[in-house]
Amino acid sequence: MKIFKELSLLLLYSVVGEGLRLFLGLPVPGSIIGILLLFLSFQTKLLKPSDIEETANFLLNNLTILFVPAGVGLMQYYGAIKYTWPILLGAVVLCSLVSLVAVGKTAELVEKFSIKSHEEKEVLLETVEKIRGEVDDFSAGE
Amino acid sequence: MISALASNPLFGLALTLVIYALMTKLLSKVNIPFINPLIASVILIIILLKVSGISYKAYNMGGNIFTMMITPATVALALPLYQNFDKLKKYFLPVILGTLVGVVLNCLLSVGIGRLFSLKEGIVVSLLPKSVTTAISVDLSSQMGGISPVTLAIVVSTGIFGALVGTKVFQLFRIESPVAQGIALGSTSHAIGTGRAIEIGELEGILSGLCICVNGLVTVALLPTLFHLFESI
Repeated sequence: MKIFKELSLLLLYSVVGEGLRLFLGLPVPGSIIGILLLFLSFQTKLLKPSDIEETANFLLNNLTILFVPAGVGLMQYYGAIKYTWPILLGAVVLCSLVSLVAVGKTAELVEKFSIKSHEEKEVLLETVEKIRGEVDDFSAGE
Repeated sequence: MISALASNPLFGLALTLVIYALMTKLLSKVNIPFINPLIASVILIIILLKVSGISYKAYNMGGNIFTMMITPATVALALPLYQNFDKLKKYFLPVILGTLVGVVLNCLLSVGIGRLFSLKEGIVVSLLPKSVTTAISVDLSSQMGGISPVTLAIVVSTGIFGALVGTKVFQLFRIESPVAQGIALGSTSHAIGTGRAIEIGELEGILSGLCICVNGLVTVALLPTLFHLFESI
């Protein structure tokens, strides 16, 4: 019974997401709207994670098999990539390498910088507290 | 006879399940680089259909049941997003800036490669969302005028390649922070990269998983505009 309830909820959010996209003419995939709605439902305590947890984790852990039939669909489009596939594969290799390095380096740099400024902020706050304490002592002594 | 059986939806459903289970079992015993159960199953099923003369349409009557479940499975990504939201808040700046750099460079390079080899616009669009998790990228590609199955093949290749070379690239370019490694794997190689990130460490895995979502959101928000901008240059 629990599985039915969980699956119904996930399907409901999917259908509502897709529906909103169609009715409002949003240029965003329905699944994205579904993710945002489900996330907001958790945030506003409308739903608890345990309401969908089992089915959600089952789907997330078995995501790969869901793409098999879509992948087999490639047989219908073989003509479209008959001559270009080596270029596409080259693009995949180049873009993946550039992305791994650029994203990694950027994230590392920003992390160092933001943590450093975070630490500086902490030190500054401590100093302010200390001064405030001293001022309090001082005014108490008045 | 065969075509009558094949047009029963149970055929496509059973074939997909059996082949996928067999390939998973086989590949857990022998490790072939660049081949995962998804690629192996797709190739094997295409060969089987070609040899037996069963049409894709007949196979997909049952196969479609899997395709239908992609959207609810993607919506389920809200769960890890919610459960790790504190990590996202803590590392918001590295996550968002790293992802942004990735999305912009990816788009720029794809458009550049498209122009260099004078690829058709449909193919370039299919190439664009290669670092976005499959469900979102396939939707995005078809909305922007790409070819969904081609995007699927490109997205899966990007996932496998990034997961395979990630650790080597991090060593070579001295990217040592677990946070940065997780972000780079997740926003380059989406779910398949996250599988690898989980093997490297817990924080890497969590951040990589978060980046699947963040990269999806950022790409959906920016890609159409970026694409037209780079196209017009």
